[in-house]
Amino acid sequence: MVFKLLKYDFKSMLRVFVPLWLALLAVSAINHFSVSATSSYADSLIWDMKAIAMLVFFGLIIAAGVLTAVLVIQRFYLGLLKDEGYLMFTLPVKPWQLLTSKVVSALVVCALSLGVGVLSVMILGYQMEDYQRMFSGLGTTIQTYPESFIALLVLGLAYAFAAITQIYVSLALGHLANRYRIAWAVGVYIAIQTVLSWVFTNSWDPLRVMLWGTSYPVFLDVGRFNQFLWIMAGAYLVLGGIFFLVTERILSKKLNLE
Amino acid sequence: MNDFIIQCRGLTKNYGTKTALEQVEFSIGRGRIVGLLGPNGSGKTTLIKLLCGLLQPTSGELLIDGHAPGAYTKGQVSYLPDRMYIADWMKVRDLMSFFRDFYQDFDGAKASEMCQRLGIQPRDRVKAMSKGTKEKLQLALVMSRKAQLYLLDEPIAGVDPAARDYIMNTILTNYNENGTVLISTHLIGDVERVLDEAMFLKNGRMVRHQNVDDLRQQEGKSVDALFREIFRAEPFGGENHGF
Repeated sequence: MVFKLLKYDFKSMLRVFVPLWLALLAVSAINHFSVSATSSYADSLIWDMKAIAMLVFFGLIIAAGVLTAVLVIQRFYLGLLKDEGYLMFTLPVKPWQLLTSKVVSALVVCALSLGVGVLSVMILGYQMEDYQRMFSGLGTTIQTYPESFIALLVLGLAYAFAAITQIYVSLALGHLANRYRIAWAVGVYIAIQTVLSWVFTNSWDPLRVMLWGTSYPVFLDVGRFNQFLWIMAGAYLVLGGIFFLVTERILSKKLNLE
Repeated sequence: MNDFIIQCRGLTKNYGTKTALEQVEFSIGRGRIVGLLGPNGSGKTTLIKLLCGLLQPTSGELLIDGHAPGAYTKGQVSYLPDRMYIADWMKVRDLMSFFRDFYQDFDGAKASEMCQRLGIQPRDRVKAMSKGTKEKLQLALVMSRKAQLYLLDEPIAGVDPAARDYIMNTILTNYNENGTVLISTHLIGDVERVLDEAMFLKNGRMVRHQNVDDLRQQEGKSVDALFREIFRAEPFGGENHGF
């Protein structure tokens, strides 16, 4: 059932994202050629066009980032907590399946948006020799520090999972209120963020002393750096798991559709 | 198979300090058309939301086909809410495939035929439809299921008499005859002729649940007349004005 739900969640998101991604890639390709145009013919018109093209490019990059965040929130809010919720919560599926589909589709779309963003910057500054050097350097680094690479990937995934579920749990908690639900959700999100910042800031030094008996900077030692990455990934996974569970309980037991 | 499609014992639902349903008890058999009658705010929508699992009861027991509301019962229930619940980005063919994917009892051919009669094409986008067409599309999808229980929340409220006739005919000609239809409404005159049973809800309490023929015989009046008698409100200013 989760796969069937995913099919519709992807469809609802990709219909907005695919045109945006294609526009971003097209504009970055146009910019690449206009930037690399020889300046011997450069007159004020060409420079104006270049400036406009670059402005459009960076505008699209920002739009893609903002739209990703907005759509992740919107698909959860409109899809489950507003009128569409009357359909989704009367399907023969369990609330955890609805939630899993939202989380997975949001994770995939965020990853793809990031990928398209990186690709568009690469197209913009396309230089074959530079990229060959960069990828060969990246390959060597991964071969030298494979554990760090894997730990970084897991940390990125765990962080995204926690970030998405933090939004969902805030919306779900805000929805328990009978009025000003969005305002409550924003308040809950800020409150969670404040608590998390305090906990992360104040627990790191004691944890470092407890683990290694010193507050020696972790980034100077590969072993400790890897340990740090795994600890952070674990923390974000646990946090995301808690947010997921709380959201699932609210959707199962306290659903408050208007 | 359970004899009763719905069994409800001591069902109570509170919203904070406000009681929406209080100690509601009833059972409904299979193959019946039942009117859930009551004025606005009497608890009809709350009861339907509890039946389709959108709300959890505060206390009491509720069984659909012998099961507590959950994934199984949602597969048995075809629900028409009192609002538009279909995503407006979808095209009609997306909706058909959505219903086919999730409901084993969905009859795609029947839904297509109903849409065709309404002049709705598979490539039509929901967003571009009028409110009336969207409502008819939603009704067509809901009635294209061979469900054990149809929960129809105010299907004829806020529409003109011609649309009411269309809606009632669609319901009567398309429901699964072995299934039960529960229609909530306060427009009794339009549904009375098709009802087997009537349930009267007043301030969250079930004040009467009876076979419609018995009720008419016993009271010597129509269900509509009885409804007006039970739910008659004192006009503001009362008897002094002598209207």
